[in-house]
Amino acid sequence: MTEHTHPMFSILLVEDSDEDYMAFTRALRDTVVSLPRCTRGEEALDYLHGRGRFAAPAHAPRPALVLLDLNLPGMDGRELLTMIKSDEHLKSIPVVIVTTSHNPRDVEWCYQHGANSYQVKAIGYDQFRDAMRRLVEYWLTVCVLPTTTDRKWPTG
Amino acid sequence: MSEHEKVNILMVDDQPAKLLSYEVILGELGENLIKAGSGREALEHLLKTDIAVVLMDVSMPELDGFELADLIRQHPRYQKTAIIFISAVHMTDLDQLKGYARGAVDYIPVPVIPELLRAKVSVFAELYRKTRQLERLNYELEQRVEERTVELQASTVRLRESEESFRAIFDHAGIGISVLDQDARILRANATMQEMFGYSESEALNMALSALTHPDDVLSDSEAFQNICAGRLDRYQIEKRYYRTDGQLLWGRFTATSIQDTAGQSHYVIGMLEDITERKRAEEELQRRATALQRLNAELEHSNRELDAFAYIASHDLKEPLRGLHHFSQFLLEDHAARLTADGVEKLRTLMRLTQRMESLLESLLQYSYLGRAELTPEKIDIHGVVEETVELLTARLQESKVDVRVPARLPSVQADRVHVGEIFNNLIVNAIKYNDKAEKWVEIGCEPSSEGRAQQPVFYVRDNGIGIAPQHHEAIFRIFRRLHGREEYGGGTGAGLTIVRKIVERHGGRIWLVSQPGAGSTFYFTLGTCSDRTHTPYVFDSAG
Repeated sequence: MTEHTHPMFSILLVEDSDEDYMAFTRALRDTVVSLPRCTRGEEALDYLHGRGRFAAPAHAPRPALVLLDLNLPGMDGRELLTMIKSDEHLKSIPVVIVTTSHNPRDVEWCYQHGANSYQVKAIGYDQFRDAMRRLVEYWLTVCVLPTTTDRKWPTG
Repeated sequence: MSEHEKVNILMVDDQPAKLLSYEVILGELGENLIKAGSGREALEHLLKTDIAVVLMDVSMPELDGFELADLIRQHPRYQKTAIIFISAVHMTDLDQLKGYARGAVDYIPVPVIPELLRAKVSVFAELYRKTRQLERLNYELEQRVEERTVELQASTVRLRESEESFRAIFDHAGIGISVLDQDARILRANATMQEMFGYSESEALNMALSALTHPDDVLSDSEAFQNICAGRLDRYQIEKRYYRTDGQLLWGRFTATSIQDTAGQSHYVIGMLEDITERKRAEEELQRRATALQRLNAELEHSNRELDAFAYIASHDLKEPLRGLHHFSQFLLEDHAARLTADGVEKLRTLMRLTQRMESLLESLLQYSYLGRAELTPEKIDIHGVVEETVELLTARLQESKVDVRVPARLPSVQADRVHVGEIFNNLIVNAIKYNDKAEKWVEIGCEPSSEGRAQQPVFYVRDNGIGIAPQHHEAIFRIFRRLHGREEYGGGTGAGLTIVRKIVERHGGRIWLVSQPGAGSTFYFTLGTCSDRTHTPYVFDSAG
């Protein structure tokens, strides 16, 4: 995967922790992925619907993937997942839960409510980085993702 | 004597011709005519026969009429018998007086006028007949009165006996009995009832039952009572509160029964009152305790839940900054290692090791608190299969540590949560692998039939020939994060494994204990509690002193 042969993918990261956000960007800094970030569920919904400060398409490209933390201030990750998966325009976007919790009930709940995969944040940075890179590679190169026309994808 | 029965008429005369003429004259009266030729003969007849009228001549030889009359009158039977004198010669007034003095009832002068004689005799005969009838009727009446009197006396005795026995039942009945009128006023109250309330019968008399009743309960049965009085209801029962004279509350079960006349109208009401104060108090106490217990249970459950939720959330939220610490130490090493001394790099690595250790501790805490919140899904599981799976997952570690696994007999199936039971065996086998310093290490997994309780509850065990545990530590090893050895000894670990095992066992309603000899090995026993008998602990902590 190099910058020259692949289009720039956008992955929406919904994550309130700045440190974790730094770890995400660091782990994915050598990839073609752009990583717009929302810290709250409500903000993520605005982003996905192109509302408010995200009204201009250039400011909010439709993401290929959503990485979602479960513990968010305000509307939490579970609510956001439910809203994305019950929205006709949004539910085709794969949502990957990336969280601290490996509580079997959380895992079960998320898959029940349409999560496309579930990943636990490793404490060791090396494992974390490897896991993230594999995740991105899997979803963006191994998988075939739906194409959408309602919002334009930015290109390289 | 019936109305037409003949009466006897005795005719006494010394002259047969006269007797004959009397016979002719009286013949048509249709009575029995007996003739006697002398006073003596007359007396003989009188002794043998009942005579209604004596007709006699005053002047007879041997025993004259007056003398005969004297004799007749002496006999009690003939004191009032009619005696008619026939006399030709002594008919002076004096004579007549003499005759009357002797009890004669009539005189007939000679010559006898047949019609007169017949009429007089007939009158006396009829009188006699009527008198006798009257006597007979009188006698019969007396007989009947006497019989009735005897009967009445007997029935009075019976009535008195019955009354006494009912009175005794009424008075000594174990429940209070009262007789009430239609306004529920007390007409009678038995001893128990008086005792129950502390009133004497005279005090209770005419008192309305409502005056004894707790104000809140007065109206509770007024409709039923009215229905009873109106004959619409035969009986009812209700539990009410009353007050004794001393002001104490009395709980009573009141049963009202209507006593009706033949027309179905209620005469009065029998009210039976059973003192159920003790029962009610016991019930209330029981209810109070149950409520208190329920509240305590709810509080306990709530606090347990909160504690679990707290542990879960706390350790979960603690992980995030911990991960940040770890990652940033790494970033520091990656980005600025050139500017750090060897000592600085070593300190950063220690920092990362500590965060990792902290993470394992939090992870154990999370796991433990999750166990308290997780729903168990008990099903019939084959323990043998569970053990086989667990051993297979541990193959690498078993081979690495050269531990021989023995399962001497097939293990039974029990009702339990499959995943959690696997966790028990995993933890116990891992401990058996870790805490062993022998050259030839082994771990044995088996099952013994229960020696306690009625239910055949299998006791599973995991035995090793490892380092063993001193008796004074048998309790401590189950405490969370309690370790008996240094952090790096025996493969490390957070010290939560046995705590988690015990929690799983207890959540199944079972128990866990161990038998161990330091240096020779340990055996952990556990049940999965299909049996509620958890009172007996055989040889746990026996020498713990």
